[in-house]
Amino acid sequence: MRSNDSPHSILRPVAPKEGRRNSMSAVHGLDEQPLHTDGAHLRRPPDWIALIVEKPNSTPTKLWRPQNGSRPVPWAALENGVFLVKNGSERFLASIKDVGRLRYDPTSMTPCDLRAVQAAAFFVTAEADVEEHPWIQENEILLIDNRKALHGRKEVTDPADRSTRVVHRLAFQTEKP
Amino acid sequence: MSKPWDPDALFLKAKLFVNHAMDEEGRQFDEQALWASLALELLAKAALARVSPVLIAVPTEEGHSLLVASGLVDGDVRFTSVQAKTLFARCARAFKPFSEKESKAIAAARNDYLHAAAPAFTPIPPDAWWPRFWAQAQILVNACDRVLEDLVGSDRVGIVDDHLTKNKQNIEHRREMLIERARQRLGLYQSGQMRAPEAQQWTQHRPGDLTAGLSYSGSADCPACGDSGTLEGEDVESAKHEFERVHEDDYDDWMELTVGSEYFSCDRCRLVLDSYELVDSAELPPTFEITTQVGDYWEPEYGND
Repeated sequence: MRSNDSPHSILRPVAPKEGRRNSMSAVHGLDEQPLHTDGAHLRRPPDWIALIVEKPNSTPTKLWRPQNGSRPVPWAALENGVFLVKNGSERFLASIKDVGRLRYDPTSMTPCDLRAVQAAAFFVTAEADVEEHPWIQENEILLIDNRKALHGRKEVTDPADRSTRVVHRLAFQTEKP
Repeated sequence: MSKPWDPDALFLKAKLFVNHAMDEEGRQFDEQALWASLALELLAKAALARVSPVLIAVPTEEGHSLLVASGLVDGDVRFTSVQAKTLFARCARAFKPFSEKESKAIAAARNDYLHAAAPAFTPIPPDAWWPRFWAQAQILVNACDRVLEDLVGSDRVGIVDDHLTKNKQNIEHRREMLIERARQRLGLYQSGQMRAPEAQQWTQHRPGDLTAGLSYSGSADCPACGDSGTLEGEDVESAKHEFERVHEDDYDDWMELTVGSEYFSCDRCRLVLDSYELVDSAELPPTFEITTQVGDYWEPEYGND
């Protein structure tokens, strides 16, 4: 997702060398994606993400919300840890939780202090608490509140999914800046 | 890109530096104090830039930074901000009771530590340094219309509150010490028990020797001996133009000024309270009134009549 991209994009699982430069696919390829919010590298990330899948496939999307799991969320670290956000040549500082929203993508955000390191470590352990959304119906829509939940694609293990798992993503704002 | 004067970006960077100062990563006090002193400068910038970015721009002949900060020029002109000492001087005028003296001491220690051979950040022990640092940082956080929690997080507010409580106690202890010593000195002199060199110095004192020479002065009862002492201040908080009809076609006019109290001295017991905090702690009036000639304060509007 780039600042000048259309709100509608089409996502397909690809190997790292096939991924767009500086993209999550270029880093993680067909492996499992880390938990993230979309557009975390943008000044103003989208509020909502709609993922639309035409055909069923065997690669689920994982979701994490603060109420997932039994381990306590280290809110102090999420609110006060400072990350360096990299987006091409642009750099800015941000915390994971700010002004009522979550912003996190370990691929574009580097922890700058101890609390940020603790926050990043938390989301590694939070992988154990995700909910998996399987794509089992045709024309299925998954609506994600990108301000309150993290998501990621599980590892692509079925070779067929490389051609059949086509996800239409709609990213949009509902709040005024 | 963030504008270099974006107050929110400056505040967030200050937060990062404060995190470095407070993170439990085994840093020595010198390094913690270094990060904290850098954060103080950023907080000063954020507080001033929030009012106007021009307040932190370097005023060169060409005015590049001023033009960029005022929005008149857009582009890749490099923005340069003023030095820490200028920032702190401006904050002292704009955000009372921010102390120029305290903040410049912090900046000077930082410069010595960074640029000179000073092996330690400051000879002041950490237990005494942190309360003084937080007393200043807190004022700037407030000037940014934020609360301490925004800077350090709710889990660390207690640590800062402890330092601030200690700072208040330190000021109270210092006030008690100064007042007690002034009373003691006066008592020794009056009873003839003062040592000869001190007594000689005492008698050489002239009224006004202890004043700070600030622009405005008034009087207040000395908290040590009860005699009338001198309150001084630099900043006029309010001004009122008064006039009285003295004849049918003649008026007298004058200015009544309310000035913030910053310094107190007493010629009788030689008490000196040299900061707003000490003046406040001694329960001296926070402001004083003076009357001055109109021309001393402002020049009336021109009229071609």
